[in-house]
Amino acid sequence: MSHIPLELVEEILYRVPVTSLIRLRTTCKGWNALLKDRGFIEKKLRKAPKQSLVLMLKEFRTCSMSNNLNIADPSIEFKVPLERDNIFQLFQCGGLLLFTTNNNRLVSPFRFVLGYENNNFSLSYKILRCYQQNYEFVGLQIYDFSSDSWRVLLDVIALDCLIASKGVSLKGNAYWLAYDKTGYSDFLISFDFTRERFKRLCLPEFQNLGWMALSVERDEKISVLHRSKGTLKMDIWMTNKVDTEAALWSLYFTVDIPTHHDDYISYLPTSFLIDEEKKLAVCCNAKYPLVEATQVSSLPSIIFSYVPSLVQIQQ
Amino acid sequence: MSKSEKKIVLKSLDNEAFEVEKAVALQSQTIWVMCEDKCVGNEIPLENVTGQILAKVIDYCKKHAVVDGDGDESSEELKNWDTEFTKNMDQSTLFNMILAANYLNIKSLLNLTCQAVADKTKTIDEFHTFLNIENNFTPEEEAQICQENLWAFDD
Repeated sequence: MSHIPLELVEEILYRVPVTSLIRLRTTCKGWNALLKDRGFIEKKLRKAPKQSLVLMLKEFRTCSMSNNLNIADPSIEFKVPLERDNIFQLFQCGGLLLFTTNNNRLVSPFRFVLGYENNNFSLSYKILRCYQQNYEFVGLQIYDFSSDSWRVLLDVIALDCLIASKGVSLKGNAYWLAYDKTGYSDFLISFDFTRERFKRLCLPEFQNLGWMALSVERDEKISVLHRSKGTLKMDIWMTNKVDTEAALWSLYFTVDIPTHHDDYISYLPTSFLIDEEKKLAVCCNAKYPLVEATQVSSLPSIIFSYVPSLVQIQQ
Repeated sequence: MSKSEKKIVLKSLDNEAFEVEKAVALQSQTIWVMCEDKCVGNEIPLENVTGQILAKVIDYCKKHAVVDGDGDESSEELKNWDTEFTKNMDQSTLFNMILAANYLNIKSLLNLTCQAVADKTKTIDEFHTFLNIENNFTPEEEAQICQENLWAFDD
């Protein structure tokens, strides 16, 4: 068989799932270089259908990945390469994972989120460091990998609200659930890593007060889980147009909390993932076992959807 | 337009001639440009494509052509047809289909065939065979890369 031009090889490789592509690094020197090439990686991000895995952090030490929500049987399991400390936070963005450890078992007041500036030609990664006190961001700094420096960021929107959830990442930007310091109104805030600005966005109109958690599916859609006070039901809301002025939320489905769960009356998940086809939610929080619509399983502390990529941060 | 003007003859590398509707052939940007140039008559020589491959390309173009309101095939049906089309193709045919789609500049066919290769080719060895690539790593270098990307190799 004759040789195929490099541009056609690239066309084929764009369509190979990332986890298989990584193995192809050992194919030959040319491919190893190609698969590390920034232009290739970014075109792959834009052109290829996204692969989505489920990533869980168990007992603050081990990560496991699975191709589906059958979390009892993960396909890949790896220890986080950190010797002594436990993982305190885990944040994913564009295929990269950011681990924060709790040094000397003290809980750090810093929250770190990873994001990227998207200027159509290249992605440049940044870290936002939020100094958090009693649910408030009291100081913000931003780190730019390209300049290797921290800058102070002032933003009244962020400093004027209370943060009610862990951050999640969607298309390079970060999102949190938040509420007003005075007015008790709930909303979503986003941090745009390109413009380096926070923005308030609306949430669905809930009928009752309740508990909320935030999740991102396949780096495409943002969803909110809402458990109304005093009920055994959780509503899953979803939007794929979060950045418009009036985000178009729709009630996607409702799940019953299984009553055989030890703590079903007061169960409040901090992270969750949904199976769109089976209308199933897998929820967990740091303290209690994981609840599926029908079963109770092992003990991950965080669960989220992970879209692998070939991105490597150049330093 | 007379009947003969609506038809066009495509001639393969091995001199096989195919008479097709113009609307079918014009899905190829390359043929479209050739027709625009008017340097060619009703017969277009395609020097890079064999008759066996050209026949398959024409099958694809016929299915995807919108001819006089005849293109009311639902997208679901077309998708299924595409899947069937590449399902039983052997590696060598697929390889030549990619080259032909590229030469004839038919974007959707190039997408389809590249996707089929990406789906069908699973192991590193299969990629080596398909793309005729020689491994130029020393065993030590190969082990080093595996070590760097351990999680992906671990199953």
